[in-house]
Amino acid sequence: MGTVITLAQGTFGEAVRRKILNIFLIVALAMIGLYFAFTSFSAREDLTITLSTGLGVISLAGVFISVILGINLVPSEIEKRTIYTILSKPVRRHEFLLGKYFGGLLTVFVNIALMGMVFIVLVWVKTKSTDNAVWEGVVLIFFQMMLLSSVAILFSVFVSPFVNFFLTFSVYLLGSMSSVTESLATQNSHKNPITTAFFAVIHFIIPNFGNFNIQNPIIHPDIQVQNMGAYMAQTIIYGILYSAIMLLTAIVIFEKREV
Amino acid sequence: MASSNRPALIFAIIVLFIPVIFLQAKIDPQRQQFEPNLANKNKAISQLPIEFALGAATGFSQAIAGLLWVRTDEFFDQGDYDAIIPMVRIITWLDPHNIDVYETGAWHLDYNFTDTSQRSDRRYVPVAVALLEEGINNNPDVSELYADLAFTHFFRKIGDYPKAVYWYEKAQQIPGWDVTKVGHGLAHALIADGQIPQAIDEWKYCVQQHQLRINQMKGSGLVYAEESGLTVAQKNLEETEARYKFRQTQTKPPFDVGFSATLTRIAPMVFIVTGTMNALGDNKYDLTTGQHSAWVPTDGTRVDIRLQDANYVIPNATTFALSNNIADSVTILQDSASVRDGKFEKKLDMSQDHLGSLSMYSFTAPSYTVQVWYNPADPSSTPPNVADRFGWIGEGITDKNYLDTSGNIPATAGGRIPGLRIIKKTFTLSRADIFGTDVKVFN
Repeated sequence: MGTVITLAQGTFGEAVRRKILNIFLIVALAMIGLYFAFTSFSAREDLTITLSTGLGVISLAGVFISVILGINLVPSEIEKRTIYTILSKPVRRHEFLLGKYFGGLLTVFVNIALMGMVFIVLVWVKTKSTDNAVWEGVVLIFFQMMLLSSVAILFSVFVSPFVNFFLTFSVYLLGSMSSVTESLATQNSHKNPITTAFFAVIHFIIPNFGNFNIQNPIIHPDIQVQNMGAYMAQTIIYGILYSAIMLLTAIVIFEKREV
Repeated sequence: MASSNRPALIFAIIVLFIPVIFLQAKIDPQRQQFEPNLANKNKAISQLPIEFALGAATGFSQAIAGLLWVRTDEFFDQGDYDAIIPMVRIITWLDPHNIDVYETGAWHLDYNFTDTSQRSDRRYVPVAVALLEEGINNNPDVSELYADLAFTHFFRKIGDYPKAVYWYEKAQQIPGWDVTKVGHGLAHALIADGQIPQAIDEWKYCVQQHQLRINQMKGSGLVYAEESGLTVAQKNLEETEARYKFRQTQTKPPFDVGFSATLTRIAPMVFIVTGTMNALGDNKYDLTTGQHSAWVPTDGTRVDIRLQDANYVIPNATTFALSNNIADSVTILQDSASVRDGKFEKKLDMSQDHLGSLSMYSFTAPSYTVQVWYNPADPSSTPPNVADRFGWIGEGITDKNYLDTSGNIPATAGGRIPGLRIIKKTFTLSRADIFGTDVKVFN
């Protein structure tokens, strides 16, 4: 465990020094701030645009940071040959992989927390009230990114970063359309049962990133959500379990890989 | 990690999928409350310029919808009303929880498409109702939408009081309903629907609810609104109780209003409706004792006039489509005239708005009806001092020629109030009668 923590700290320090991630963060913070400049709309409309854009920017910046970080964590060590030095020490491969993953996750967490705090402060300045729902939205974005990072790190152990970039984005887009796969997997008399079964398998096997998108009720507080606490808990557990599956699969592959 | 652990890891991966699949099956039914209907969202995206479509497709649906709504506001300021309907359609597809868009969009459809004399185009009314009903389906927990459909549309615009009651009652079943907006509205709708004991009960319920909320809100800035609502509810409760008691006798015997109406064509598509109607009232009415001086002729009542295709039946709410093609070939005009000194007169000039198939008054049907009626249940047609003599739903009126006791409310899609007594005269015109050039009087 100590090895994993040491590796995670090192990965985090290295990630913080990467300019591209900082640029994403700065651009995202600037965009969140920019949308708070809208004051000419009606109060309700103004807040709708601000909340929607703020959560959208945090989510989008989170995706880019997670993917760019995730696809490079392992390959960069192989490319720079530093992995040999690390693995020659008493560090096992699965510890290396987990250390890299948790270091990356810590970076994502710090970025999302920073954007989330700026966003919530600006919402407070604008509305003079705090709304837990905004926090809930930011928390679920983090768990969504946790899952995305695990997908990126899984692919990073057997494909190049370039291929991984498109592969991870494809999985993210497919997983974000979980309502489509759900709809295709729903039985009715007009559908071929084989096709329905195929989409049911797809729907339950792919990581459903769409589960984490809860912006709409946050943007429109009039909407009553039933059992929000239960939904949050189920979705977070889903994210953790699915990430564990991705990491275990990555470990199984990485253990056999020639480096 | 020893390679002997590999089968165990693979087994663990497979086992972990079981709770993942179980959780996904639990999550799926709950997700509908978080996102727009995807098919509708895709339809909306396909109608948008690329920059908006990209934004909407990449998770900024609500922001794009908000920006489009701002653009819609500009269209409204510029008077480009036709452009607003597709915008409302696209916005509500992108963001089906934007309550403002449903409310403002439906109000716009109901009230803002007008002829040169500022008469609204009644062909849009079923579409406005359809839009709000869609909003209610997408937001079943928002009582504001039910109340808006009840008041803005069924109560104020259409005058279908049974339907207003129906929607207000639904609004009142939703947690967090607003006592002033919903409860007071329901009481007024019950009065217009002739259900007076129920209206009195509703006012009592409103008083109770206001008091309950005042106690809960003590110290909050919002308590002022509840206190103000309580004062209004108490006053209305007292007045309704007093009037319910006194009108039992004051409305007897029914008074013959001596109604007459004449329709005169003065030019092609230009008519004048004239007529007489005697209304009684008393401005020195003491609500505590029911004492009043003699009933005297009183101004302030209104008669309604509606010209429409003879075979036109108001459609039930249809779906709200992207290009909301209303029935262009249908002609409907509705207006009202105030009664002063026992007389009323209204000019109906449809010649300015007969501009081909897209006009409000295309006159393509072979025949038309013109109805002129007085509905004592309509609060905008009967001031309270007249209603003290004429009754809640016309129990104090009669007319030797034009009394209608069918209970049907004119110009509604089947609205009916049992016991309603209205005064109504119907003219039937042919297309030639509409376009004739000489002066002609229709009786």
